[in-house]
Amino acid sequence: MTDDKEGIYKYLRTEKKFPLMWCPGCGNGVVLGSMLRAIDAIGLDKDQVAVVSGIGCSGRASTYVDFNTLHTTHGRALTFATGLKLARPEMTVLVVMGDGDALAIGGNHFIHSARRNMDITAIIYNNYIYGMTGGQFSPTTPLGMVASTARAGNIEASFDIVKLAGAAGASFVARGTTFQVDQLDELMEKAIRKKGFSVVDAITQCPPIYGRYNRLGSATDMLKWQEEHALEVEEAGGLSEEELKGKFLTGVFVDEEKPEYCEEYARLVSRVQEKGEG
Amino acid sequence: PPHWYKPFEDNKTGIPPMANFGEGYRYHITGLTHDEMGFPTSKQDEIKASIERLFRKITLGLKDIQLYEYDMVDDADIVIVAYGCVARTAKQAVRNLRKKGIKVGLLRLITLWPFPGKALEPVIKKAKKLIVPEMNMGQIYREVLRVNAGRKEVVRLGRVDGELITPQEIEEVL
Repeated sequence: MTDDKEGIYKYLRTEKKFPLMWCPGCGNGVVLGSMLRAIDAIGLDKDQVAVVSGIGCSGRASTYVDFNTLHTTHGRALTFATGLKLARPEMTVLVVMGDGDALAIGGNHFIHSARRNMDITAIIYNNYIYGMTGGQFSPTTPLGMVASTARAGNIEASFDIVKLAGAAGASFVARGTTFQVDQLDELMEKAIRKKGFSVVDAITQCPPIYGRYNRLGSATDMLKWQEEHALEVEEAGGLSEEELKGKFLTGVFVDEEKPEYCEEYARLVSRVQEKGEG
Repeated sequence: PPHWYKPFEDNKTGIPPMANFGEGYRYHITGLTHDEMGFPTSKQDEIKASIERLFRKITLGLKDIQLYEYDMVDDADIVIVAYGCVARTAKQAVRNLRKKGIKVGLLRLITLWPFPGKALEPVIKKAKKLIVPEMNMGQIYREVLRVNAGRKEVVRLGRVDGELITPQEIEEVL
């Protein structure tokens, strides 16, 4: 049985669904590993963890992990997760989605889940593209980048997941990359421990599709790009606009205490019941 | 025991018992074609078995799924086949026509799909003529024609102007 394996292998369904369908060089494995290391560090009971995923390469992540897993329809992972969390508030519900899944078709559910602030952790595997379907541009594809549906360059401005989640009301928002794995591990652990809606924008590389369309090189080239352009938010404070140009920020952006939905709901129920008896 | 559990295992009814999340049975649910363990598969024999089980599950439950109602069809020469608000109109038309001595009955369809051909069979055998009033371009009429297979006369009464079909309209068709 899997329980006597080492490290993250304890949590992988290796005798069932391996090999993975992810390409060699894909960053998704790193993000998944990071999530598992966080779960290991916290010491959660496998039976009390649920992983709900959407559609796309990131959506396949739920098949590979030994928890209560639910692979849902495109954009609706948060919806299913909301139902699951309400039915089983004591479970740890982790939601794995791609950038297109969470912000395009799932955009509505994303903003309302953040507003509702239910104790769910949303992990967005942000590779700036719709990888599985052949490379269409997504709401996070940067301006000017090439995609199968933007052959001469994307002319749409892209979402900043951190700003969107923060504005919608999430109580914990962070961004990490597949290059700075130690930071990502830390952010994952904080996000899962946080009581409230937590969002982790995990920047990951898609070399065969996004990378190829934009001539970004191999997986290592794309990771190098992350290394050169990621800047921790604490260090950005003292820098000039020139120095900040072209860079993106990582770290924790929002970490607030807000009323959590399931707790508020339980309180509502007991309040109404008391009134009934009075 | 948990490691023996097959969430999508076939059995007589085609309905495998379902464990709840969080009770010690860790399994995978997906919308992709899957095997008995619930994991996605592209193996042809597993996909075929899964689709056939789902089809059998529904077929075995048809008597609970296909709902309909007979109203005075036993001695009817003419039977109106209707559903929804038009069935209400038809009920009134049946009462009006019976008062005039015309033997008319109503088969009210409650479930439209899977189309309850079984409910239609005895009606086709006993009646001489069927009327199908609908507020559309004849979708259920086509199903009635198919089950009828040319045996009896089937008449369509369609109305697509946003207003209800009246009992008088049905009576005039007879």
